[in-house]
Amino acid sequence: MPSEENVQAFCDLLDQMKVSMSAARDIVKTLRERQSTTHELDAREGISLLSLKHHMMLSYLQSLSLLTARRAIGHSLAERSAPEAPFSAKDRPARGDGAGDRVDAMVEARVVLEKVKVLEGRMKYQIDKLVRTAEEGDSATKNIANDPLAFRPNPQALMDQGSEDEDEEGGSIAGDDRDGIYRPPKLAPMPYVEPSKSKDKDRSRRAPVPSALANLAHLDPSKPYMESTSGLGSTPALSSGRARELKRINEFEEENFTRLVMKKKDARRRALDEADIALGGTGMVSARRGRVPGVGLDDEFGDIIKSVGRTRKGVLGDGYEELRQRGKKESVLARSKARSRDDAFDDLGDDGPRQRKRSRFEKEVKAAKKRTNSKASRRA
Amino acid sequence: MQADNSAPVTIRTRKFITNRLLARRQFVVDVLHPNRPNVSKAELSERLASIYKTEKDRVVTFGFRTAFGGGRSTGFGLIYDDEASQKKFEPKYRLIRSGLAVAPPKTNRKLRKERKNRAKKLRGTKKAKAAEPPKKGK
Repeated sequence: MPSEENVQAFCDLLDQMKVSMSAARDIVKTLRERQSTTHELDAREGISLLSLKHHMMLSYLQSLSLLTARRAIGHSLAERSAPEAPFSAKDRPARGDGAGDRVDAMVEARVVLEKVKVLEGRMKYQIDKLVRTAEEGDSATKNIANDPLAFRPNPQALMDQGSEDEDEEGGSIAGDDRDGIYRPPKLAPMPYVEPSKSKDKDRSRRAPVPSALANLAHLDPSKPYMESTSGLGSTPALSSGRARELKRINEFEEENFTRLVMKKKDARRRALDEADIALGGTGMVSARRGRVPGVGLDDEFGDIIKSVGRTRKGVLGDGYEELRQRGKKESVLARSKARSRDDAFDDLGDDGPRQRKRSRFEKEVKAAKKRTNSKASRRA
Repeated sequence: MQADNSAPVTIRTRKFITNRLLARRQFVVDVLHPNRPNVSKAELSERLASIYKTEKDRVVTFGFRTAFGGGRSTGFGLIYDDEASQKKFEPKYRLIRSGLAVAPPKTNRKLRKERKNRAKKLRGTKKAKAAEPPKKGK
């Protein structure tokens, strides 16, 4: 005997179904009226791309829900009827009843939707502009410069540029040929400067990266703590190229369970560099030509030594330019200053020009002197 | 500093891999031996055998390098499942080291080279005849 709540629930459900069915009937009635009276739903001449998008999405969702329902019952997805006409035929009939046909319909809808997305992307500019004018109306007060949709690429401009150059060249060539005499172009005389092969020259002339900051280039973003806790001294394996190379060799050996076969010279060099790194050096001991121990200033202080005598602006151009700049006088304003810009930088360590801070002792000495002077003057 | 040969030795293994294809277990061995010179391979094999509960003949150690300053060395170790696979997969020189294979007899290198150079001057069966050095005098 079904319980009271179940009976009540069943009646509520039936009422709900009745209400929704009557609503659906009303909607269908209005749609039929619209179709018979207006031309909005007339699809004889095709539909626009945007409405195609909506219709395909709807059919995709319907196929999907039907498919899940049939799968829930237990139908296999393999029963399908062969399509009678190809996809591009205009009047092809609808697909059959099998579950496999629903899958095919979904595949079709998916392909069409993806293509529509691409096409819509190409028309995006036009659509956005139309939508904006529809929403806001014709507002002439809006500034053209602020509006992001007011400018679009104009390929015509590029074509005009190209044709102008050709005309000029054609004119100049025709002019010279008339005389028959070669006239060199009139340019100011310039000294000949050999073009430096900028492979190693450029690298050595540029200001060298300070060694304290050089390690930032090799930091591992997944291990941020490696630099923060070590303060001044960075991990020895990261400081120089040779140190990194040795670390890589070691890793390779451990990974592949072998020891690399090296010549005696290389093995000795490796041992020497590893000892140097263990003692806190840069590991470039063996690369020095003169093997004098203890003379390794270039490695540690290279950036400071090389930057002496260089201006802050760095390399100006060729050597000729640098000489000219060095000989020039500075502007009147710069010359009239008592302290130059370079001096300002030297003072940075001292926190600006040092003021004579009067300590308590000095103040008391001064007060005592004043007292004795005033006493002396009063007495005298 | 006295070299104390009975000081404690710590053995750590890293990167432990069970290599089924070569029927062995392989790992990197870290030996800590402060106040002691390098530990010998034989002693290391014994200790590893006791740690991994195998016979000491199956354990092979090689490639030890001491870090600068002493006290720590790093090398490699292999433990084979059985003698047959060890004889099959180990390279000859390591088998000779552990005693499972016999080294080929050392021929006199100079003699071999001289014989070869003499044979270079001849052709065909005369090579065998002139294998001996020409008798001086007589």
